[in-house]
Amino acid sequence: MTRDDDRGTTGGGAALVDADPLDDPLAWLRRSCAAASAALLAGGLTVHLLRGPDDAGARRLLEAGIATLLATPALSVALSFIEHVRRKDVRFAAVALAVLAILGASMFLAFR
Amino acid sequence: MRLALLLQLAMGSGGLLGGLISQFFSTASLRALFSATTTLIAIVVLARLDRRNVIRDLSVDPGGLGGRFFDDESGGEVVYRIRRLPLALGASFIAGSVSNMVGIGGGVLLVPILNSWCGAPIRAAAATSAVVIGVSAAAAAPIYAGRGDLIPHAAAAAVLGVIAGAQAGFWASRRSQARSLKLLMAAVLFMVSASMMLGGGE
Repeated sequence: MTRDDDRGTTGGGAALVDADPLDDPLAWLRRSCAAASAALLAGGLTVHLLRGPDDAGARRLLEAGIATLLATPALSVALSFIEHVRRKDVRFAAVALAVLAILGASMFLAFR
Repeated sequence: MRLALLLQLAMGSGGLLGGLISQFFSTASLRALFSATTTLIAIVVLARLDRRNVIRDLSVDPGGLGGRFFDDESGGEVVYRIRRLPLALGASFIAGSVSNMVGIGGGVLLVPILNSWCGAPIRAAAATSAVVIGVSAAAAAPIYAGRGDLIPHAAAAAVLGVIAGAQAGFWASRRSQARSLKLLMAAVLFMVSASMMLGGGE
């Protein structure tokens, strides 16, 4: 049943037919965080270029942008956890919680 | 999303481990290992260039980790099923650890493995990987930042480039055939392998 002969077809692309209802809020969250992070990083980089590498404001903006970017996966997994708890899907709620624990352990090891 | 969550667990663990043990391995040995692995995977991708992981029989159950989507290339709705989950989890763990040790995104390993061995169509593999590698990076980056290895302005420039490139890649992917995407994947793998072997950036 697996197709072996896609040669000669035209076009491409794909759209989910049976998308999980969780996909939309997760996509919105990721897009929002990426936009906020990009704005902070672009601002920080501009200030860094204009005022030099020692400027504290530039550094704060850059660090805020990186923190926003790194927080995005954690927020996504937290949202997944809440949704799986709401659906009473214990197995995947536990998986999401384990991923959050790994991210928490990483933060603990980094800044202890 | 369920597959991505499972792979995030494996890749996040690998990323955390990679961030912790990277200082105990020589850069040269890690680069040689990564180079050999990417070359092997590129050859597998080329060997399976014309094989697609889409099933046109809509009565087939996609299972808990597969899915259905409208595929322009097939001219209709298709189904895919995920096979060899332990392999996908193991590959994610290794991709998370090794990729963080050599400083390259784990997607370069995860996408071809999901596509070639685990039944994910190339676009589904790429989308899943994009979600998964964020967790791997988020697990390792604080450890590097804590050691003072993170250069904020260099990271910012790279992130802005990646965000723009991701938009362009999404646009191009929707207009490309799966075969072209696999050829591009193999080319990228060979380039990464050569770069690692030649020690680019050292």
